Amino acid sequence: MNTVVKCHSVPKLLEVLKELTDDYQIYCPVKQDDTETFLPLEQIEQDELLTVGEILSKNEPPLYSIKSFLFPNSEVYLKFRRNHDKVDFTVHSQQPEPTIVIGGKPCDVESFDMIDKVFLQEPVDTFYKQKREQTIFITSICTSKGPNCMCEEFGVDKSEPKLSDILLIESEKTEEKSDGIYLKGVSEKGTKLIERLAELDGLQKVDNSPNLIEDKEEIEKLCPEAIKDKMEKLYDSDIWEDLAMRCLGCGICTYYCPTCHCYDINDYSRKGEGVRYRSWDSCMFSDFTNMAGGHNPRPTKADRIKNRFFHKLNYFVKQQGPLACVGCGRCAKNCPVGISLNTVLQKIGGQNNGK
Amino acid sequence: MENNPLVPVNGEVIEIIEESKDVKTFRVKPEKDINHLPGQCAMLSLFGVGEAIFSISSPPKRDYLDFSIKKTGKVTDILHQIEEGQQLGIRGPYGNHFPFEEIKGKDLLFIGGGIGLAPLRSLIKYALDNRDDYGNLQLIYGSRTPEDLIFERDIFKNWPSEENFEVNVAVDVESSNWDGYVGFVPQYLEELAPNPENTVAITCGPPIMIKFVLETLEKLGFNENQVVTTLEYKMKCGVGKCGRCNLDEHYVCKDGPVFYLKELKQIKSDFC
Ligand SMILES: Cc1cc2nc3c(=O)[nH]c(=O)nc-3n(C[C@H](O)[C@H](O)[C@H](O)COP(=O)(O)OP(=O)(O)OC[C@H]3O[C@@H](n4cnc5c(N)ncnc54)[C@H](O)[C@@H]3O)c2cc1C
Ligand code: SF4
Ligand code: SF4
Ligand code: FES
Repeated sequence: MNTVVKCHSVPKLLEVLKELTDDYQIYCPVKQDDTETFLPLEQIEQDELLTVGEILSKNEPPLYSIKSFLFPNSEVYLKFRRNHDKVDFTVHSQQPEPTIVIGGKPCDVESFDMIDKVFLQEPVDTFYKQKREQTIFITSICTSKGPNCMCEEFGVDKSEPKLSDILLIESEKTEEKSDGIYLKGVSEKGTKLIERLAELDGLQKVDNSPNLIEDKEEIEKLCPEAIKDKMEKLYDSDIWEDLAMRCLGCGICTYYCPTCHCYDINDYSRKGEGVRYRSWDSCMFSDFTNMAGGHNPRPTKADRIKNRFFHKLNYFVKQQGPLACVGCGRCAKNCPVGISLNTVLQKIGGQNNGK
Repeated sequence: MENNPLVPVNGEVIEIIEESKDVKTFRVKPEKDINHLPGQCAMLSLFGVGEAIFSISSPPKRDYLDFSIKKTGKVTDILHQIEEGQQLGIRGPYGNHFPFEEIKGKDLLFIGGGIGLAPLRSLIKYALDNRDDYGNLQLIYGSRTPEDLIFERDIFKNWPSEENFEVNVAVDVESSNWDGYVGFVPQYLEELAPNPENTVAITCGPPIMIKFVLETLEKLGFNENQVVTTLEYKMKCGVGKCGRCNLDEHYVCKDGPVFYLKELKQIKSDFC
């Protein structure tokens, strides 16, 4: 039996959660200067709390995915100092603090399945793993489909995502009343937190959460194997040249994508002291594979676009099983020239390729 | 904390050997045993400058590792300035290795170009360490000019004096101090026309050389199970996670750098 607690509104919930800020870092999505970002709860002004609620109840993921909480866009992991002839280095990774992240969507938490497959496979990326273990994700459930959303086609259960720790379910608002919001424990660490929340003023334990998604349409799921095979036929197609004519090589598609995990490693040092850090990188950049001696295995934009889509729709399937996409629609929404995963899916037969 | 694959261990440079005008061999003693197999690589770091990956050019079972490094950029430029006794970061070994077990009992034909002799040297030396396990050895090696040849004492002295080891050296262009073969490695290979029977060819060099060597070997009658090559790709993590070095669904750092020609033929992306 999953434990469920109820609260009458999002601002109230956030108010109550502030009592936990001694024990947890708590992050929420908030709208500031017209753009969405995640901020620590204590930095969110009273009048901005309403925008948190707005973002949570949208049937669309927030601008940024939550992957950066486990795989930051830039992360220092070594520190070093020159000591006469020697250089002493230490691993810079304090045990990460317990963290609660509110506001990812079902597609977002399910994207961890893909990153886990890469980062938790031997040799384990312990920087990622430690954060993974220390972070509790409260996933806000969508009640219907957003304009760019394709999560269900990609096999994400948008009412009960497998990898979430806690589900945040907002009961349907009618004109007279809003019945409130419900938090339902899913994972062990999520359920423990819910038990604790149940003891706080303003939250009460209830028997069950409302069942929201009534009109469950039958959506034909994409079959990774079938897509993988269809992609094979596209290898020598003109589509890559066509897309390359439009693509700016800006990398936005990869930065917003919750399943992309490429990174770069660099050192920074000054006066005998410095750090080594890793930061997000993008296979869409021209120097990504550029080698000494001037050889570049993917010299053109067409090569790089093709590699990106082949990675998501073919190579990853061969290596790991699923497609490396959760259908969040961020690439569709944010690419300045309107290239997205759908562009390629449509080319290989739209969504009618179930079997 | 548990070991993270990105965290190096300390190593000390115990000897530096000048191989050519822009290649030096760094003999490194790591703090912890690296225990590599022939053909594997490791990531070297100079803290404050960065990391780069290099083949280990010494054979297994020594208490040091050799890296033969060409000066080409950020990390390698600074590496070329350091002195014996200096400390480096090292992590590895990475990648698969030459199929030294599978090719037991065969004649081995090594074909190298430029710095590409570095990874081959680990297997050549391994074969010499285990001489009875392998048949005849032959090396065809070329570089741009005589000054670019590396491992001079090996290619001119040590190896030619071994029994059943034929060493053929070439340079690309005429030069006053060279009376050996002049021409590209694939061309030399074609002229020497080694017999494919019971032979495995192992090659490494610049991409363009590999491409033509593979073609020539097939012309000479080598089949796709008799040809092995090591590939080079830009790398950052070395462990299949940073996503940089993919060749179709394979990561060169993890599933390579050593591939049979048979495997390469199934790869659609360009690797040369
Ligand atoms: C499996 C493997 C084995 C290698 N073995 C050897 C070896 O035995 N000896 C040797 O001298 N070199 C070897 N290399 C090449 C070596 O890793 C690069 O030349 C090195 O990264 C250059 O580092 P840098 O910081 O000096 O150059 P940078 O300043 O980083 O780069 C100079 C130029 O080289 C490119 N580059 C960066 N990384 C690589 C890379 N890994 N491969 C090719 N180009 C790169 C950059 O994009 C830039 O164009 C090997 C590479 C691989 C992948
Ligand atoms: S966001 Fe669009 S324009 Fe930018 S790199 Fe991606 S596909 Fe190209
Ligand atoms: S490829 Fe596009 S739709 Fe798929 S997960 Fe990435 S950003 Fe979302
Ligand atoms: S070097 Fe990172 S994936 Fe190969």
